[in-house]
Amino acid sequence: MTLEFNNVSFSYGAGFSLHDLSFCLQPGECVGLIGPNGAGKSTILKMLAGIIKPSGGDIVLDDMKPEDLGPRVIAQKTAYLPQQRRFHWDISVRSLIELGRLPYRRRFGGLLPDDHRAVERAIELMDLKAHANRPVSNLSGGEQARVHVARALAQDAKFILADEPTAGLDPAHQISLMRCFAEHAKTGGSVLVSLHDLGMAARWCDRILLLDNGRIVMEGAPDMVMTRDNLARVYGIRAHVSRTEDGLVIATAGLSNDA
Amino acid sequence: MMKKIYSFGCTTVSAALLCTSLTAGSGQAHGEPGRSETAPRPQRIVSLNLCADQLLHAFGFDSRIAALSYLSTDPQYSVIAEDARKFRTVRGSAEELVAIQPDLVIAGPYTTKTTVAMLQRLGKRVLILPIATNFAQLRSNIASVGEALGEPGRAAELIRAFDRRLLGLKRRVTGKRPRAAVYYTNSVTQIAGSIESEVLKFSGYRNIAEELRLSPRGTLELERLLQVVPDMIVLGHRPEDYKTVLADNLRHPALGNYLRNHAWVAIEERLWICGTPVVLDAAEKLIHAWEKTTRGDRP
Amino acid sequence: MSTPGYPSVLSALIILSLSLGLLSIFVGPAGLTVAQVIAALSGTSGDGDPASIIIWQIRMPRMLMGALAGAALGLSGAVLQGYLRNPLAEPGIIGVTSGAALGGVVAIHTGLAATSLFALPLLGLLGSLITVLIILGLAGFRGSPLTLILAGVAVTSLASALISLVLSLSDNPFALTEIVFWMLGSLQDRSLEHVGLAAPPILAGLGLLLFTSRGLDALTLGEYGAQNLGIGLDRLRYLIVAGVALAVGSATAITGAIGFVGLVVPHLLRPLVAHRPGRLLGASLFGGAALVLAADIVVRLLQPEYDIKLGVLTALIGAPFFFYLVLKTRRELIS
Repeated sequence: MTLEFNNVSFSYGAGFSLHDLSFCLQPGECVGLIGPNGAGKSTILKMLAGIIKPSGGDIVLDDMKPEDLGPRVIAQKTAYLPQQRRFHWDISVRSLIELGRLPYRRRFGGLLPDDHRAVERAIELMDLKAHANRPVSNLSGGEQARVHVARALAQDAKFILADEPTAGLDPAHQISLMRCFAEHAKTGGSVLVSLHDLGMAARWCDRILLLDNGRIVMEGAPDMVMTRDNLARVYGIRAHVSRTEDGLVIATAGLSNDA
Repeated sequence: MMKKIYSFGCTTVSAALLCTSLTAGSGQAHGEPGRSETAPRPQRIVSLNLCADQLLHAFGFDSRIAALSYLSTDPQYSVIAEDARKFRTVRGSAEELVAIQPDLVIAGPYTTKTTVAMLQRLGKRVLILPIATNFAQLRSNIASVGEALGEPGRAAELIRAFDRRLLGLKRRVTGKRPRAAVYYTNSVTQIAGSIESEVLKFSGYRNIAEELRLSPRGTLELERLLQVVPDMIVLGHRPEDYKTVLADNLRHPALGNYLRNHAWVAIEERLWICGTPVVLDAAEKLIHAWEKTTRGDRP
Repeated sequence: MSTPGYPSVLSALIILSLSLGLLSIFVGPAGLTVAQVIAALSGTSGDGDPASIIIWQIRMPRMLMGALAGAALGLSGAVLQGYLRNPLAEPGIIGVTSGAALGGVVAIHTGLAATSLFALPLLGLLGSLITVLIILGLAGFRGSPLTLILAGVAVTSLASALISLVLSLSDNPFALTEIVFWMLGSLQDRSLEHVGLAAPPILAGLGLLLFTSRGLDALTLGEYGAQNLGIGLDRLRYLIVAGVALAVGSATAITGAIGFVGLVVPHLLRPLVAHRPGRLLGASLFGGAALVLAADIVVRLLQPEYDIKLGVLTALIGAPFFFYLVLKTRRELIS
């Protein structure tokens, strides 16, 4: 029940590459993927979701190679939330969330009771009940972001791969989203989420992968990885890191070369 | 390039168009235009028109023909296609004509208008031959060509021969007046005021197109053709003669089935597309087709 | 929601196209009376009766060909719009029908169509296949609406020029009139033989295209979203290319290029199916058939006084929609 990266590398053009990445996503954990722009966060998530193929190394999903599982099974096991969150047609919120059930549905078949249950649960979790029958274009940006998450939740996948899902959400909805991911992990699922909000990552993730320039520079518990020095080295920022009763609190003060 | 063929068949031309615009040649600048006795006999004659080609050819002065129109060699539309290959053919551009240096140009009323205007400006003799839509105009056209050629005697001979044959055919026509419909590619038919309609009537038929309300383009849709159940369907060229999707009306199985049980006759379009004495070949076929039908033969 | 349910929308469209199909049997230049048509339909008039021949051999195949061509164009429009996520995508506008018409012209004027019956639909198919591939290659998946339309304009002009070229070289007296047939489309004198030739590939194409509904639904979330839902985009692309080429190619080889059907029909029906791209497919199939049948009924009501080509009517209906959609997507077009 794991999603593994074994010595995975990837190169795109001349400028960008990932080198020899290895890590394992265990059941029951919410892992935060942090690092500056261009570090390779989105690429890692896309590879795990089966959208792009690594140029070297293996991805192992539940002891199987994704090629042997087929796209449908991969879709049942991994739900991916892309960074680009656009709806191309103005369908209703409910229809959109129902798309999450596509990997389970027979061609031309309707929704089964199981599907309806999953959809209702996702609507509930993302606080969308009041909007369920509205066209998605009627919703605010934050509400639309929640619709996307609800679609991924409806997919009922063990592994949730989310690319900056909190962008554009108000603090309350950011927290309820992260809480939802934590809940998912607690019930035996796994979450890999890329975040720019270091505070969110510190508070809600069990483990942090710190990425820089296509490499994992550090991996471990938040208080071990997200130190003043590491953040200064990778991001080039001055940050205040303090331990409180609510967990680790990180506040950015300025750029490291300001001083 | 579209050959402007159907314009002959579908257009009524008033007699006013009989404008023999014979402009004086170089030798007789002040002579009276159109007077054959004063005009010299032209030796380099060019025809720019399919119908003029055939009339001119009928006079039999091959050595005096400098060029015929490019259509004269098309076997679909020209009865002299084989023979016309002996001559130079022209498309009717001003450039070609200047090079040939003709002393008489015969043209139709509609096409090659700019060329004709230029020739007239240059003072060349131009005969504009009206479209013959009836036998009277046909005779008058023969006479005009004869006059322009300086051969009125030969023209009279041709007209006498035409009338003799006309009289002979007339005796075979019964008074029954069967209804005929001409049906061509793209559902084109022949409406009143065409030489085809005149030939049909002479051959003892009523032209259905004159009784029906047709579009100005003169088309008769397949389902109307089958509905009116003509006594005789007159077809032109076969669908395979031209590779065009517009001949699909002739390939339609409904027509094929219908023709198996009804009288029809194929008249090659070259026989009557122009008002020349050859139209009597078409008349003879039409008369013969009706004789066969009344005898009970199937076509 | 206030929109009607999908089954009722679909059945309404089926009933509409069936009624228009039936109505079109009653309309034609021969002006048969209702009684005559009913007698011919019920088989009580004799076999050799003109009304019976007109109904069964002329109006029936014309109706069937119209319904097939309309279904092919309507469904292809809905599929292309869903796949490219662009409301301006349409077989006519992006040049697929012109490519197919060129194929038809080549089949007829090389004499291939006379040698083998299958040459006509086959070359139409080939023509549309090549244009679909060019369009997807030029403007493809991530192209903006503007790129797509520019590519369509280029392909259409090229195909039209080649049609005129082939017709001019063929030295046939009907060339100009024939160009009108191919550019505007017509159901005039389409026979049961034509239906027999075109129906199998059109139906096969329609079948393939109906299989794209899941993929098109998933594409509402964009390419990555669709892939994550287990949609193979390559497979989807092959289905669409093959389906559009089969359906539009074989229909256009028989009827000429009937424009705008694939634009108008999905646009009108989208609100009725709550904008869901998958559900739009079945609706556009029947909606397309209904639109072409209705347009052909009008064409025949105007006969014999006016010979209006089918494509003239569909353009009169369709072009205003096109303008409207351009205005609507203008911001996107400019960016």
